[in-house]
Amino acid sequence: MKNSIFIILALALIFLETIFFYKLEISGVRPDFLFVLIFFIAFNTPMEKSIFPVWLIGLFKDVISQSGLGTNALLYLVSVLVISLLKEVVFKDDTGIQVVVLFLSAWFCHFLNGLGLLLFYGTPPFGYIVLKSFTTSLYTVLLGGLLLIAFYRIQWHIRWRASQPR
Amino acid sequence: MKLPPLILLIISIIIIIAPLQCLNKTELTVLTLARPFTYFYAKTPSPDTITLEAYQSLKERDKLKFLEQKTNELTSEIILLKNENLALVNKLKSVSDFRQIAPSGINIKENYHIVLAEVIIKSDVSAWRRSFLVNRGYNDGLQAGFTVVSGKYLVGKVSDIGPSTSRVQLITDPAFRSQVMILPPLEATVTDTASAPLTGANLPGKKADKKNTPAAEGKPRPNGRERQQVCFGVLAGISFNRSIVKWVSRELQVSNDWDVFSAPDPNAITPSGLIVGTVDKISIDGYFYTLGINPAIDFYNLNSVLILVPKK
Repeated sequence: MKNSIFIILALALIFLETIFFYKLEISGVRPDFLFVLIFFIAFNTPMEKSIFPVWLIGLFKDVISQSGLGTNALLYLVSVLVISLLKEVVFKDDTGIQVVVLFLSAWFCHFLNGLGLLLFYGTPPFGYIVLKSFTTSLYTVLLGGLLLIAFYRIQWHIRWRASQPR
Repeated sequence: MKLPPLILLIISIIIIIAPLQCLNKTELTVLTLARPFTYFYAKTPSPDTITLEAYQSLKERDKLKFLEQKTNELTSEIILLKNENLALVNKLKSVSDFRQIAPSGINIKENYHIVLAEVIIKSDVSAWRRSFLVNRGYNDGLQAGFTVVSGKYLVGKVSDIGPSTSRVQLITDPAFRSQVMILPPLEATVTDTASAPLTGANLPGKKADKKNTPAAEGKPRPNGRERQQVCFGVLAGISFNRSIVKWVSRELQVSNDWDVFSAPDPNAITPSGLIVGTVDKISIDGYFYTLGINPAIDFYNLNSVLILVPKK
């Protein structure tokens, strides 16, 4: 898929997140659908091509959220590097393996985010960081699976349209 | 577009360490584009007008059709106006509620201008941060650090500011800090831990003996609470839609149903006595308590808030 499509999907997800997805929150934990898109990009695109759109999406998220500008851009960039390394060592066509990699990378990204907050502001406590990053990743995988299927459908549709003779 | 990861890593780090003021202003200026979010569902139909001559020139059947159509339009307009009226009454109530509480004797009218702001974006996209966006900025006289309230409840403070939008950092955000006071509920009493060692009978979480209340001893209780029963701490968010209060001295024995209020502020930016929440978890951290706080307000249900602008 082209970078422009990734950006459009990210903007749509950010828009939905601000007006609707926060309602899915349970006890302060909500799924991170934007990370599912990051995972999809990183898993299905060569690393050299995926880092720029992912970095840009992180920057969009920073503008909308309270996080310092560049924080999510950096986090997503590191996550892409980790996912790219992981996809080299696993059988990437297996759905189960994709779900496991999504969970691990989401946990890694959220844990790093929480750790940054702890270092900068002194809260949340370390135990909360471990708990929250785990529950958020689990919730993301549970609900984000459907979104991942939707992304694959969009990719398949775009490829099918491109293969049609004009 | 191919870019080596190292360049983007360096750019990200530069942005993170760049001067915050400049970046925040740019961020909030970009977010001015989100202002139409408030009007997303509020559409008023334009009134259809027809002159008397034109009406009289209509055929009888058309007249009936016109009147029927006009009745429907007017009915929908009445419903819209009623809704608008209800929203305005609610806003007025939140302002008058706030003026009536007069926490700790401070005259709100004399000390603060009240700016009513509507919430544009209710939630933060980041899973770790807690903030929302409002439709007021430095053009309305706001500055970073001003207190945000809803009625008599403390909501947070203005963290970033743009020309016509601002970001409000909620009390549940990990970066939020404010001094608070913790008081026992009106009917409860407190045992001084200096005179009463921590035993099974007075462990945190258990209600104290009502026989020791000043009221029972015939002493007056100003405002229902003893001055010596107040303890202070630092409020901080933990992003689970909850907050904690750190550095609470263990001189007093705090229990689970104590109330948390904003403390007197030497800079007079935050009035004291604003309700924060209730203590629902107590842990001991050396010489101090760390208290878990259940906020008294549901931040996602807020459509408008009041921003307190201190008078100079």
